[in-house]
Amino acid sequence: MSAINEIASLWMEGTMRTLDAFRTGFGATMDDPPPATRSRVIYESGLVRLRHYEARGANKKRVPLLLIYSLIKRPFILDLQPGRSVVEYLVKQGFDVYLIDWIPPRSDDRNHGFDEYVNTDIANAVRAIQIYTGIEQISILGYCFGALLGLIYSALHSGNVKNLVTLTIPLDTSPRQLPIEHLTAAMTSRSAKVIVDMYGNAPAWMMYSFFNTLAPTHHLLDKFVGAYRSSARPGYLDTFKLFERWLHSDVPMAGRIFLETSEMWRENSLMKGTMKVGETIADLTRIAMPLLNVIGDRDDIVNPLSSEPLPELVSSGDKQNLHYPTGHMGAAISADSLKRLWPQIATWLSARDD
Amino acid sequence: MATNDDNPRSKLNSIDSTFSDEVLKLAQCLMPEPPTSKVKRIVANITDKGIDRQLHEIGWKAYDTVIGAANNATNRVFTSPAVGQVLGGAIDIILRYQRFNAAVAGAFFSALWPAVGLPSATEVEAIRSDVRAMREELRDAVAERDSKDDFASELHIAVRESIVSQQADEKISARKTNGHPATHIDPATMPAKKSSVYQFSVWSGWPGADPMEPGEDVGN
Repeated sequence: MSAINEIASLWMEGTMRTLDAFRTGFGATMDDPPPATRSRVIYESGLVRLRHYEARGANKKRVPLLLIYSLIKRPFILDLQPGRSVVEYLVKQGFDVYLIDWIPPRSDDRNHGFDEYVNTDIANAVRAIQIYTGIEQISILGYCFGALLGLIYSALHSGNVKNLVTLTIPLDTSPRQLPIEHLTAAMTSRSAKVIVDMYGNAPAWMMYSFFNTLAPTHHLLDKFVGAYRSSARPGYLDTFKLFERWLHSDVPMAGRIFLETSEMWRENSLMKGTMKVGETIADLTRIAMPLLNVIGDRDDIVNPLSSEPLPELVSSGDKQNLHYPTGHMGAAISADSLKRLWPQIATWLSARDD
Repeated sequence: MATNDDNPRSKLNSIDSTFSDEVLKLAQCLMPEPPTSKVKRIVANITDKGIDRQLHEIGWKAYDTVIGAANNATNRVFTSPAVGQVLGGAIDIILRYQRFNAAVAGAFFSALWPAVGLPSATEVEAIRSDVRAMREELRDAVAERDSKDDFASELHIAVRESIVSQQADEKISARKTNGHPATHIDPATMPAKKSSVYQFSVWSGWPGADPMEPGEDVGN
């Protein structure tokens, strides 16, 4: 090897290390913390990895429950730590819980859109549960963007869904009250296209910056001061560290679904019944199964007004909005929600378990 | 009889004293009590009277007010239509500039890399694709090897192809789960696989009798 090649390769190695350091520093996906609840991966395909959390206790429920989490962060927030885990709570209530642990898209997954996520990934996960349990209809519980995916799946494959629970679903994009709504509206279709042209997928650091920009005082100062003020509370700092880890767990959003989502939000197409997924219109009137729509009244990420109209759009006879005084993530991790909100959800599901 | 040596001022201006000694002495004269001990004394006095708790509360209230005001100001900025317009335009311009920059840098470096004997981005991408394909082949092979249960293998194929075979279906019916009789799944009710995007599929096998380690199968 010539000297110039040797120098070039050394330089290249240094550059790659530097880039890697930048990548790690700017919100690359970190490993998940140890889970609170034991799980087993029972199926993996496309961008879906299906985890099974086996029901505990004597009062086991018949209908499997599938949790669908958002695409832009890791789902370990639902199983954060013992005593502060939605998954753990549901399992203890006798639910056989399945969680779609989305595999972060890589550069060649840029063409993954709603069609692929809903009609391939979720459809295959549901099929795997059907075959695994031998039960035809399952309950779906979607959180935030996961609720949107679960809703679309339920509209397109209603025969497979027994009950649908949507938590903090961003459905109606017409309200303009929260900073996030204005910031999203400021993103033109041209900007979204440039992002996808440049990066392939919407990068994780971009997602992280977007959400941090919305509340700079909180993210730069107040949350740390809050941690200091509450540091005397037992276990608070451990939860804080885990929550911070989750806040930094952004994953890229596949290029196509990023474009489709920004278009859907601009046009409000799902709400208007004009959104096409693959070849089919996602017609919400085809949803006839029982529906529980949970709304966080203090949610500053998804406007409660955005979630509220859902029951009016579906044809279910058994449907209701459940308002709860909590924020967007408080619904998943606050001690109060685990004591008061989740028992209501579990009771609602149990009553429809036959 | 007291001598001049006992007098602290006796060495003033003497040839033995240094400049720093002089400064120290001057400070002692001006501040008979050091400021730190004075502060400590005041704080102790306040603590005894329970005033510190009130000061503490007032301090946090002031902090909360300032933070609340800052949050309100930020919200006002983001919800202002004018700011939204400017921001939207700025995002567009920044992204376009970035794209232009990336294109120019790409063109420059793509000519430079071969000159110094380094691979181009296309070549690196091609190698990555090859490595990924090999990794997928390996995963499939491992999955096949690990799937000792015949039914699991059939199920894996069924899910992968989105068609439940008659044979697998019969076995599903025979299987009892969760203590409930299995429901027959009609393949006709299964949603058809619509998308052409399908990468790889790994069946990790049925849960065995031995529980897995808690940390296993977690993470990316």
